[in-house]
Amino acid sequence: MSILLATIAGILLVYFGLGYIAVPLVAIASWWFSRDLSEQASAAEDSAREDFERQKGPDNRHLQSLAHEVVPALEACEKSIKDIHSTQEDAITTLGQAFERLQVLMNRQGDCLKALTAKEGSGEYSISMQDFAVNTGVQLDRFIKTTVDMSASSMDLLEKVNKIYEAMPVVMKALKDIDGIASQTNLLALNAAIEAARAGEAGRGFAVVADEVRALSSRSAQFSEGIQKQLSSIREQIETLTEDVGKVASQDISYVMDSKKEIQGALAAIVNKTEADAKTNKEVESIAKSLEEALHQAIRGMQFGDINGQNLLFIKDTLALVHKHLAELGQTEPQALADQFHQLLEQIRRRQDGRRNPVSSSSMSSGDVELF
Amino acid sequence: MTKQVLIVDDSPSIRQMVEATLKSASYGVTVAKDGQEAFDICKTKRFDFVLTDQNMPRMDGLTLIKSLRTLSAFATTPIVVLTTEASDEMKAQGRAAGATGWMVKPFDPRKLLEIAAKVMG
Repeated sequence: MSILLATIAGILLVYFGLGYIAVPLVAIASWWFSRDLSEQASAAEDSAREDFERQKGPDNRHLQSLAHEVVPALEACEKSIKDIHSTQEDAITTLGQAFERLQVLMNRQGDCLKALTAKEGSGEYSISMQDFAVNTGVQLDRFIKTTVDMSASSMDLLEKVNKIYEAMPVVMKALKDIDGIASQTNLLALNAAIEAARAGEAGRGFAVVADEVRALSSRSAQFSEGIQKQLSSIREQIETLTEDVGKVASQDISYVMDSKKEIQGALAAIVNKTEADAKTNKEVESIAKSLEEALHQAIRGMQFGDINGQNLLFIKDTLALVHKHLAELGQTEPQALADQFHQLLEQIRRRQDGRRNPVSSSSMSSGDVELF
Repeated sequence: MTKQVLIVDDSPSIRQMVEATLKSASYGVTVAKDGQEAFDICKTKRFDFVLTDQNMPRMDGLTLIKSLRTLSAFATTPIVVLTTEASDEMKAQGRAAGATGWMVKPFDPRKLLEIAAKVMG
């Protein structure tokens, strides 16, 4: 009789506008009733018989009419269960699609992040950046050393050129001395020629010698002049050279050192950044793993849709059976009514034996796995 | 070559979740909504793994397994039942029908992937 009382209570609640309470109440009552039916069936039958035996005609009709009134409530319950089942399936499908999309997007995001820090060949991006920084540093040092050496060499060169330049006046003075000697020789030759002329015939031979000496002094003066011209030209070239080498030697190479500092700073920043990127990448990987676990949990949790769906269908079928039989109650004789109830209970029991509730789980923790 | 898996379940949400899980591990997935549809597909296509529900309209999981075991292409194919049923009696029936394993819902995606990797190893 408990189902009857529960459904009557359900009707009253529906009448008072509390359908949402009535539906689950009736559903729970009927489900509980049908689940434990095998144990309760005999007791319920006996109780039903006793009730009917105590009842007389008008009370039986009242009971029958109440039973018929229960039918619409049961129909409403079945409809509600059907609606719950269908909205639940819809909701789960939507959620499933959302999570599937989430998973696809997560995978794409992971690929993008990998592409960001990937490098050709094997090994880590940050390590290759470190190698690059070290190599660049070594090349920079070589370049700076060469520059410094060149600068020092040009100073040395300048000094040597200066020494040559300083030697020039000495040579020039020597040549002037040669000029003086030539001039004196010329004068001497002239005097000799005069003396030879005065000596007459006896000095004729000496006059020839004096002429030759004059010619020699003239030639040595010409040589001296030629050498002096060459030396003047050399001096001019040395002056230009000194100026040029002086420019090279006086080049300020401190900017190269400054540049080296700047480049090394930039390289260190790049290495730091790539190391930080590598760390971030590892963190992103671990987040991706956690996200995947969370997704798996969500997928496990969402299976309540299927599990509860099967439960709901089973309840709906049980309610349909009860409803069908209550609707068919026609006899008003107590014994006939009791017999009909008896038949109904028997049918429900047979149904219970034949088709169990297919759902075993009562929580969303992962089910057993067994490989045969 | 991509391993091919057949999913048989009358619940669209379960089909979707199993499909997403297996696809994330790069398996090729075909779905059927009951045993009969699955059996018709299997007449023309081979699979490396079949994952089936038990309670379905038209043809249930155990009948599907028995039917598939009559096809030479499915004589040794791993077939695992994924169901809400957990009774030893049903498991024994599954084993007798030729099932390779029995998973009780709700399934954990990671465990499902482990099972898939193991039976297709």
